[in-house]
Amino acid sequence: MIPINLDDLDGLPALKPGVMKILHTINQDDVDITNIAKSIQRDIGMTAGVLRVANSSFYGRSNQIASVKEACVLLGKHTVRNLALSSAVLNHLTPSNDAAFDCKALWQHGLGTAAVSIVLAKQSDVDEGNAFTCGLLHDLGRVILAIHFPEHFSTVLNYQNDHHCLLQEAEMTVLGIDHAALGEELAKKWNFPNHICRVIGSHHQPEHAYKNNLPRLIHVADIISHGLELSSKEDNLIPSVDEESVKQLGLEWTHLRGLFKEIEETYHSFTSLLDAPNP
Amino acid sequence: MKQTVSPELLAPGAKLAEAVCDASGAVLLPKETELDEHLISTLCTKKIAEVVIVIERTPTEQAAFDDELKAGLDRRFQLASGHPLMDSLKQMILEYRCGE
Repeated sequence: MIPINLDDLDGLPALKPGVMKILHTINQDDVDITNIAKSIQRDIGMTAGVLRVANSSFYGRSNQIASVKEACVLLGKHTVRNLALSSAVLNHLTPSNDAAFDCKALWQHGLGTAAVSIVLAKQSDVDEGNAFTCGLLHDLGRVILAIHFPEHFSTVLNYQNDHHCLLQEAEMTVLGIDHAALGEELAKKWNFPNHICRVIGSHHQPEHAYKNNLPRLIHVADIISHGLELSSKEDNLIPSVDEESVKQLGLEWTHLRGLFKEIEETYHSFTSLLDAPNP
Repeated sequence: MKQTVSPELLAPGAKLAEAVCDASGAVLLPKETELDEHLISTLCTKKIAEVVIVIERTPTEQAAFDDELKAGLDRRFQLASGHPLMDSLKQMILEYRCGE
């Protein structure tokens, strides 16, 4: 066993102070659209990320959205806040080309889960903006392991391969902590909104979410995303879905077949986010 | 059968399974267009990210494709085997992929 302590996270590079300040500003309850737009525009990567998703086919607009302020007006403050946070994390956690692991595949899975999440959100009583962000960021802990603890991550993958077990079981055995708990702890350190921290921490144990449907939605979306192999390098063993979550979300399971095409089209409309410049 | 590919990977003779549209939704090339070198070059120049083309397989190739697909799903769903919702999900994905 090569344990990771939560204190080890203190040594990781945090989001840039400027980005933290922007996220803090735009998440104030009383901030207006003009100030949200001004804040986001201070960061090129965040601005580009917001506009890429705002102009993706998911939002189905015939006219291009050319500015963050326009995005705030057309999509709403809440959605733009979510897009800004997603872009900030993507830009921060894109490793160099010589990194030990291909993190693009991990982010592709995040985008795949985001795509499933927002399609399922339309069928449930869940906010689509939250569904996108939480879907994208739910495996933050896996990305952190791959980038900052590559030797630990490699040992976990070898253990999983040898024992044919789920990733989180291998992580608990090898590291003493799984990627969900690791991701939640880091999200707290980076001052993510509480509901996002909870989703990251409970996406494999949605029963801990009680009647909160957002973690349940991300749990179900994660499994469907793995099943559809939306990431190009999917070969993970898939855990069983929590039946209570499906029930609470009001999903007609047999109707999923009719959503697969929309899910794939939504996913493909998001993939350019991974080509965003690293400012 | 359909396949989504980047224009750089296209070869002359490929046939579009879905229309290619620009960012404003205007149709650049209609469904069933057979692509030649000039059209492929135009798609690349216009920076179209991906197109959906028709994949034609012989019955033998199709059977091999289906077997490979089923084996991959069986492998990835092995720990969830016997769970009614997961067996149903696996079957829906298999039908979707085979029916594309």
